[in-house]
Amino acid sequence: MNVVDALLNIPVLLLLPFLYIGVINRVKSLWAGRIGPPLFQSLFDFIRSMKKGEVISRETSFLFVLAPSLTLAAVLSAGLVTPVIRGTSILGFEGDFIFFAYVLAAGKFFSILAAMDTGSSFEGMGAAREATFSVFVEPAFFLAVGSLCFVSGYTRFETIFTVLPGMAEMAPLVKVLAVSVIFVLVLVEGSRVPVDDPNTHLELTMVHEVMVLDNSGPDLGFIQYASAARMVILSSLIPNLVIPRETGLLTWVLLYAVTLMAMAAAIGLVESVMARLRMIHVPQFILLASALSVAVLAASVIYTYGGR
Amino acid sequence: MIDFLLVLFAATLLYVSMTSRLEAYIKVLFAQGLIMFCMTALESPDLLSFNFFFLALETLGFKTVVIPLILVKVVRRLGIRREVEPYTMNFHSLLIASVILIFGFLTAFLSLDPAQAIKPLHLGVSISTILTGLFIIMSRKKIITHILGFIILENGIFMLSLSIAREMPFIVNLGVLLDIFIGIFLLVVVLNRIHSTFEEVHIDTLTDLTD
Amino acid sequence: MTLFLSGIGLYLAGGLAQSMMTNRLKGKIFALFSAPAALLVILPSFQVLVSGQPLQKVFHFPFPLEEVPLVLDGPAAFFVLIIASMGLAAAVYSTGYLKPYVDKGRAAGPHYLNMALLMSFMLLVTVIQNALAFLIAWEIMSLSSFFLVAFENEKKEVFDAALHYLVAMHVGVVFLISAFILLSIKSGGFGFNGFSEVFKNDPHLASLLFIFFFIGFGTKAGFFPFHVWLPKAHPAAPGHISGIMSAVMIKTGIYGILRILTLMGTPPRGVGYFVLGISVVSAVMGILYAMAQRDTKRLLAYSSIENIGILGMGMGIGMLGLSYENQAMTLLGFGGCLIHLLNHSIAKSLLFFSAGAVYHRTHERNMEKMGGLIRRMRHTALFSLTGSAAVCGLPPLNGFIGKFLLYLAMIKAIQASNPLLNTVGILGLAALGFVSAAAILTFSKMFGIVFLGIPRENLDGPKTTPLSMLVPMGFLAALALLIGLFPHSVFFLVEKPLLVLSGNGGTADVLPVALPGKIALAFALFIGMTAGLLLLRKLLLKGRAVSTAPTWGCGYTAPNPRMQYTASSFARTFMMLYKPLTRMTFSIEAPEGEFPRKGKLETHFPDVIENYVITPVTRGIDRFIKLFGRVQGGATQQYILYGLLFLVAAILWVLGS
Repeated sequence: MNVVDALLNIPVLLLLPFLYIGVINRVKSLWAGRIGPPLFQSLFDFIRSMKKGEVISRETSFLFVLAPSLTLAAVLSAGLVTPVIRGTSILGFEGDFIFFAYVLAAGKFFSILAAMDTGSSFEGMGAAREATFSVFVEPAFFLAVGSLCFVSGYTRFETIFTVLPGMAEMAPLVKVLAVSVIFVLVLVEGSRVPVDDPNTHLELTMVHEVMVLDNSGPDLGFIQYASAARMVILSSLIPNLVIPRETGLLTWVLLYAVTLMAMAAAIGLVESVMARLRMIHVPQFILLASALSVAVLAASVIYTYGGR
Repeated sequence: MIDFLLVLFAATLLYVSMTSRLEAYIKVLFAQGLIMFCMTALESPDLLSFNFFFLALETLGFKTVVIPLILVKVVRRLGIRREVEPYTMNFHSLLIASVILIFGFLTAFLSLDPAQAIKPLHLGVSISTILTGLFIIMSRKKIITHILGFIILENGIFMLSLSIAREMPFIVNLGVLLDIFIGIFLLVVVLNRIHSTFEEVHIDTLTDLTD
Repeated sequence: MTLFLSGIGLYLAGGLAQSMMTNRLKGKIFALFSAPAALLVILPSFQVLVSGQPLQKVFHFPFPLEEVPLVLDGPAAFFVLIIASMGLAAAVYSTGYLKPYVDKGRAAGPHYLNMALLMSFMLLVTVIQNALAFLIAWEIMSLSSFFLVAFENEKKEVFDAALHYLVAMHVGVVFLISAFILLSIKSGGFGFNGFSEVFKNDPHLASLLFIFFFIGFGTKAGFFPFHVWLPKAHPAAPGHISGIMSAVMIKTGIYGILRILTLMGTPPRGVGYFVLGISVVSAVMGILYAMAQRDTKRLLAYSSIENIGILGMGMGIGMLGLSYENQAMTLLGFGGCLIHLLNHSIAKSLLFFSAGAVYHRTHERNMEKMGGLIRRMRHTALFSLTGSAAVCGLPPLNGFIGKFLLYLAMIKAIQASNPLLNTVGILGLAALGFVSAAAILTFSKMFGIVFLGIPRENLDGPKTTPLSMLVPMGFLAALALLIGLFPHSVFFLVEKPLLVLSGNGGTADVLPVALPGKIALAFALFIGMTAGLLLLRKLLLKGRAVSTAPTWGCGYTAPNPRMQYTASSFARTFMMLYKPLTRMTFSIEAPEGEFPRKGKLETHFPDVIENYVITPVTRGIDRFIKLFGRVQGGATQQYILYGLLFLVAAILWVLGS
């Protein structure tokens, strides 16, 4: 494990989320004919939140205060095992993607509870929807990563993604399918259109935004940052899938940045072009990801046993 | 001698099925007890053995004296004289009792091996007694008659154990235990005056106890 | 071994001792006896788990029992550990829980006597290796638990549930008896060691016998579709009994299956897939039904079914590992199963105890009437939160490590060179993931609706939860956290049982030694970062305005606690998608007219197996039997006639032959 690479993960993971959100918003604005906010606007917003005081609902308990910090810690812990720079993660171990999924789930669990803590029906609704969507996301995630395990023959994020880019014989189909699955997962986890609309606070689109109606100040900053970081972490899987590991550090970082920005732009485009799906269709959309995962699985099985 | 006693015993069975007077039933029980005591005395190889002493005491004591006495007391207190309206008329009962007797003898003769030291007559009469006891319970209405029929049944079991006593001596003791059990049962019934909780000592009311 | 047996003796002595005490002291006396008894039983178990040498003592009885070996080996010791510790927690808890009943004058004597019997015979079941003695102990276990469930039997629903439980247990035991009879006939005796030969000689018979054993033990464990008694019995039973049943008693079913596996050697492949299939179905259906419940204890009962499914998945993978001679799969599969078993016992006890505490304070089990209890019951809420997070397998608590091993086992299946195994592994991963996410939904619903928000109705009851109930909960919660942070502690506990289960092949554990350490590190970092962020937040907010205000109501002028999200609504989003599986019934009385008037809406989620399988079958049996109703006239004479006829027939038959 390359220590330099591992250490580089930290600033990348900590700073990139701001840029990521900035790119998405810029793309959306440009598409709509506006100039849009500066690229690092979300950083400025974050700093501003940190400077504010808070208003806490009387009906809440200690959970409401605990949840934002815990959710952010969960996302950062997931970042510990994510391969970022040249496929290196800070703390990798066999089966670490399981830890990845579960620690993110822990964050979700507590944010759901915090939403229910307020006793507001809106937040309860958002919490219910959030919980429901995650039920579909987990199998999709495991199907996808499981298939990648199968193809690469390895069981930790690091090694899977180290080997995969080098596997030139691996049908491009599998790679394309994997990328699409991860893209859909990023949309869901980041609560972007078509799953949820981050811009509105109306009842119709309430999932994530409504869960944080009562949060303010540093807590709100934490939550928004966590959401962005979650997207970055998931998106980091894609460059590792396509860029070969042996490239020089600088080239690699450049390619990584480009890929991530491309993803952010793609998300911005999707948000501009599509409308949010009807509630009933959202699970179907997530099931689409699962179906793609199954396709990855089938492709991998055929590849492994057919080619021999 | 024993054969004569056995035939007498069989005659009591026929008498029981024919009569409708309750005191006659009790007299029959007394007679049966006496017959059984005589049979025990005659059949025991050694008159002075402890086992015989115990048996004799039991038959004489319980069957001949205690139980009939209790029953007479109960009947007198209740003021019942007759068994009215049984399900079958006296004549039919007698017929059925005869059939049972014949059936018992047939069974005994057909099933016994000459090599065994069991008297077919003895076995036959005991089986008939058992079946007659059951029949009496079945065909009478008064609860007190049921108890009497039950005692006859149990006499029959004791006879059965006597008849195979040569082959399995300890079985007679089991028969005695059964006697004691019946005695205590009756005692409890009498002492607790269970009979008086049924105002009409009629079993039709018991039909309500169904699922 | 003498220590072990004296421990059991002490349990029974406790049962007898409490029967001589006054009603108020009964619980305390029993708990007092349970503590040393548990210790006496745990010490030899530890010795076995550390040394790997089983303890043994053979008893000789007259016919028909004859030789009864009592063997405390690896798997048995593991189960003994769990049974004894959870039992002790329950005994302490019961003193507080039963106090209101005792104060009203209800006799607790029979209850504690039955608890003594249950504990002793659960422990005996794990060590007996003679089929007849095993069945006797099993039966006593079922009977005593029946009486324990029927504690509040003046309530019709409790009595019905207890009866249903009794019948279900006996239907299951029929399969056990048949299988044991067959084995005894073939092997010529009742001893378990004789059975191994029978299994090895005839694989087809082995499969059939295993299926019978699986149905028999599976009824006790609560696998779908033999689970219907579970969601009835758990809510009906008092709090500590539900805890013992879910945490320990249903695990004896798993023990039975594992014991049969040790006798079987290598199971046929089909059997492994069969177990895996049923387990996946159990897990999925269990959690789906759990989601739909409004009764806290029913929800927990269905969640137990789900976790039994997960344990079964571990067993299935382990069995496939044995069949395909993949040692990694075997060790990880069974290892995950055992560790998850331990963790689930802890978490489920905790959850049932907290549900019992809620009932104790509010006399209510219906979630829709609760809310905001975190203010009245701070400690219980904290413990319940720990239990919920643990049962979902969330870091940094103990539930994660068991599931983690199961995932690893499936990954090994993915890495195997058999396409069927690969597919099964990947689908297994997805199934476990689905079930875990659904569990998160279920438990966030349960904890959120019960403890958080604003009280939906004013519920009255005792003002505090007694210490005797809080202490066991606290102990279990602490255990959950400790095991989560130090997973190596449980790894060492399962080493020796795994040796036995894997057929004494391979001594090296497949897990790389560093793995539990890295997981612990990750957990520690997670907790550390949370603490750090909280601290940061505190620092940032120093000297700033932090005010309180009512929850944002989006402009509604008169919010009302009943306007909060309800339990049914929370689950409904998901349940709508699974309509065919859950058969939701929906009845509505819409208000009419211009002004608000009375209206009513009812949704029910009846259990599919109960409504479409069990009820029609019992009705059919009922109708069939009514045909013979004429036979029962009610007149004594009629019955005597039957007796007479039978006697005559018997005599004739004897004559004829």
